[in-house]
Amino acid sequence: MPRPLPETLAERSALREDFIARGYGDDGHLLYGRVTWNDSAGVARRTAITIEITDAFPFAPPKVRLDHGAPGSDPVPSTFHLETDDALCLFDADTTVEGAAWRQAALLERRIIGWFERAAAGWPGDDDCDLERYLPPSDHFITYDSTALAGLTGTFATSRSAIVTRITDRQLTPPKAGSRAQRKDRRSLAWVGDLGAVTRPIRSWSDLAEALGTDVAEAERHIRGGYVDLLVLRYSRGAVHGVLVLHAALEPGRIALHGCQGADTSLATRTLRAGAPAQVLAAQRIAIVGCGAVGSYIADLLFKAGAGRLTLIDPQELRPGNLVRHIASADDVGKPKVVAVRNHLVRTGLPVDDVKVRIVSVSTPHDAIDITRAHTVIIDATADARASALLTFAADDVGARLVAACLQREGGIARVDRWPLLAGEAHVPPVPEHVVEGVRERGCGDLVSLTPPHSVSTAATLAVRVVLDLLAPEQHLPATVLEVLTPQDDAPYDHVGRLSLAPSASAA
Amino acid sequence: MAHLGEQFKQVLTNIEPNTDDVTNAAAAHANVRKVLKADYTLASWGIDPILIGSYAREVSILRVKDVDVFGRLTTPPDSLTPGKALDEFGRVLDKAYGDRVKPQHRSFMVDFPDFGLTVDAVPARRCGDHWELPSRPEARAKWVETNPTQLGQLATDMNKDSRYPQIGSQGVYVPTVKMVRQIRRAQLGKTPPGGLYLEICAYSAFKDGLGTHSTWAGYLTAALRGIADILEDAVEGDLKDPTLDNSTISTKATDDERQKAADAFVAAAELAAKALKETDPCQSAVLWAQLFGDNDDGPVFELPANCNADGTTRSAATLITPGATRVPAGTGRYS
Repeated sequence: MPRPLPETLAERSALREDFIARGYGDDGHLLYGRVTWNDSAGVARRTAITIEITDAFPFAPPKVRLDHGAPGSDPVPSTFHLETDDALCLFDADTTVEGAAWRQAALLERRIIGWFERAAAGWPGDDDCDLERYLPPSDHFITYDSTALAGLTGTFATSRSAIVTRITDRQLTPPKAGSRAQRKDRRSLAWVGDLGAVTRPIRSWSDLAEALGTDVAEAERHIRGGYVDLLVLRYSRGAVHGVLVLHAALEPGRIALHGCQGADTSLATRTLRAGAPAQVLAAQRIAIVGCGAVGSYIADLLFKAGAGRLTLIDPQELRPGNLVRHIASADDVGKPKVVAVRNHLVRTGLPVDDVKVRIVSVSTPHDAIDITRAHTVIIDATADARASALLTFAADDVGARLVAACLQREGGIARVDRWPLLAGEAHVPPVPEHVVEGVRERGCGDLVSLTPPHSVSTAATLAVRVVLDLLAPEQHLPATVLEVLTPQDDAPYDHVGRLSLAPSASAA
Repeated sequence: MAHLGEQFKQVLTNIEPNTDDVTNAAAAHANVRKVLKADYTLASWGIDPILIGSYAREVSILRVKDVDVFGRLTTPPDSLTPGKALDEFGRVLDKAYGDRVKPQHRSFMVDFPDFGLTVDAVPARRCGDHWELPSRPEARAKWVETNPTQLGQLATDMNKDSRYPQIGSQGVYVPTVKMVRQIRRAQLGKTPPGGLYLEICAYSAFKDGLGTHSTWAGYLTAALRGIADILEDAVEGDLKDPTLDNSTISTKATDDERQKAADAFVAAAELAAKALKETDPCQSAVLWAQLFGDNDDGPVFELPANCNADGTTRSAATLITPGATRVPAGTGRYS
């Protein structure tokens, strides 16, 4: 085992001496002592603990454990926030290291006493739904759809791959014990049940039996029948609901339980992390015109944020040279860009039924007006002079919401313009073009812009922010958001950062 | 006070017999045991050899240099004389090991050069509740009472009994005896009295009481003080044998050597007290390092990595200074 880092030795030593001064024994590995705390009736209790200053100290707290071997120690009943190795869970992962309470003996001891007192009181206000941590871990990764299984109990089919086991919503009648069907069909099923409100962790089969009540007989019968090895158990703590997934294995004289990693695949859970704008975006029908580099990232960000109703419009095919800046993968080379982007969205696992593709260009006023009338938001990611002119005209004509995003100066400038303009608003003047010796891809007529990939994601992110601002009750962003990513030779583009320019009345 | 708990834990690791020691000691014992049991005469006397000594009591330290085999004769003839017992042992071992055998007053030392250790084999017969072994310091041998297995039991009891010092659930006695043996080796070298004599002194010191401490440094300091007092008393008088009533421990050490040992342990006790009282961990560590000396693997008490050899602390620039762990973005971050 590596020795503690020299830089940490002084603080480790000081903490040990501090605990020794408080009456703790020290065998060089563990510190041994007792803490006095008050139970919920106000009676003083004294419980023996050990403290291990681990190699991670001071960047992680010492491990404080119950010392079961110490004579005359007041016991602590099975409780939450106690790890499988009897370590007290005293600090959450977000506790800052600088000034952490675990770096001083007096503060650490006070935290330990607080733990005992909260445990004795049943953890008031605690609603952590992480019951799987109280069991030895299983390496099974289980997915289930909590919406599909809501309110159901019984045996369900599973679908197993090398890495993930999926609990399906196909309820099956378990084979009768001893039947030919049972002997013949040893498929492993999952049993779905309900624990209700839990007041203490599940650490063993007997704990589970107590929590399940009369239902435990059914679960046990299925496990001993050899065709159920997974238990999917709904539970609640306070107002929060969780699901505990257990792997059950028959061992001599007992049923061994291991906690699985369980992941909910319901749409509600998949979209939970999308953030606050999800509902607003879900109500929109958004056209993304131009599914090249910037457009592909805009599609990805908006879709994941909750915009499930998209129309992707672009006439071109994906080329290998596009991949360094495009969201699509090499599998889609040769396919239309819109198809490549949709295939990427499919791989998120979110529903794509309302993602439409149109392998066309916007080349006539009718095209542009049809698009603007059929969508609540139009995004111009074409960087095509004619298409952009058509979309600008159509948005103005129809009064539609339009957001145009692009990169300029080889990715040194990201620019997003939006319509409609508010009273008194105007767009920032065009960035003067710098003529650069061009690079052409063999077999492709147009000049290739040497814009780096990170500029693409910056422009896309700016565009999405402008879209969200546009959909908000009040706009806080100006009509043009222009960000200098690489300082240019000419003012005012010679400093990195967001540009605030007084809009000109002559702006396009 | 600097207790240097992690350093003391490392000391106990550094003085622990290594796997070679353990393997070689077991092999040497098995070899001698096999030789003794294979002899017809000894077999007819019910030879039943067992390990005794520091190795059997688990108080040996690195390197294990000798192993003691107690050749119990469970059914000897009543007429067996001590001289005859020694002669038969000598015959059997000479035949097996030739010039690797060296007879002593009451045992035979068999050299195992490949293992780097010797085996002391001693015959013994039952004497009431304990045993007696033949001793031949002069021409005529005699039976001398002994109870070597009892010392092992006393050591085990002292280490496990909660009435005696414990740190957590670990007995203090056996680790302290090991540290005392190492200190004896560092301060006295090959000069007697040997490790067993000091072990008996340590046992007596524990029996007399060391007071209540909570660390290795604290208990060792108290033990060294107790041992020093007992050694000083034993220079003029005798050292009581805790395994036999009305019996004292004999030693090859002369009066001068016993005085020298007493002086050395008085100095050791004072050095330990000074080290324990020292508040600077590096200064304290240097004193402990002097006390423990070296073994085959190097310094037994390793200085903490943030200490210089002269007891000064390494540059403060290498410490975790206030602010060094501050994360500018604070909490509530996501990535």
